[in-house]
Amino acid sequence: MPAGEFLSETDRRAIQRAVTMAQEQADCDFSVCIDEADGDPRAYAERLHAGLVAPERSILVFVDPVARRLEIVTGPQLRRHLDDSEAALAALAMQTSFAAGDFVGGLTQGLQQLAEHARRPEMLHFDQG
Amino acid sequence: MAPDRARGGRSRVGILTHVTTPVTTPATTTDALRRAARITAVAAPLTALFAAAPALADTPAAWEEAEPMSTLTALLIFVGGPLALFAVISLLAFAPSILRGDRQRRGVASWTEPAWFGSEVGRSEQPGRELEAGDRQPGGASARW
Repeated sequence: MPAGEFLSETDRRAIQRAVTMAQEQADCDFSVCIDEADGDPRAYAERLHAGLVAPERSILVFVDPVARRLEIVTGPQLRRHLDDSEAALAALAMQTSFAAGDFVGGLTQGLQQLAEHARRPEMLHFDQG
Repeated sequence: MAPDRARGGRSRVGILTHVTTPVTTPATTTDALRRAARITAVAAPLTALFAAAPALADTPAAWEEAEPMSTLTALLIFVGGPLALFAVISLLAFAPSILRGDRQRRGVASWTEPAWFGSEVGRSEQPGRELEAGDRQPGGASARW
């Protein structure tokens, strides 16, 4: 099925908007790829992630709508702030939305959650009030 | 009963203890309280009931008689109203998923070309490469639906 039937133009714009907002919020690279995986989805997603310009500070959300698999790949530099359990929580939220049929809403919410965790927290020092 | 020895031990026969237990009269405090509580519990609601007699009165004679509501009107208001409210709220709750249609839940049979979203600088030109031994491991999570 061509991507256009599954995702309407409105859907695509909404996803792009969510990605842009996530990038602004977390100050790291976000990518979303919706494709049919060639082989094991996890390995395929990690290969795609490694092919990004700056994989060590990139997050890739890979969705395989045929196999119904979702993979989140976080770059090593980001794992300091966004550890695997937080990524698992975002994945769970997305999985729930996808199962209910809300693809765009699930992606938006998941990206927002990842961006919030990946954002480096502001350092508040005692002597600065 | 205290033995009569308390009186200086002059009597030779004293009562050490009673063999038969005397029948208790309501003179004991706890029993009296219980009895009073029992009477109050019965009397209070009855008093309240009869004291509220004015509530049983009819409307003042000076007011005009209202027409009794027909069965149809009553049915319409008390049954139809909640049902209509129920329908409206359900519609509001389910409207987004109805409008969206079923396609995204059912999934797809095949996918022709990849759809990428993200800043264009994020994607390098070369195709994905295998992880080398020196690379630090990426993390993340997986899920299926």
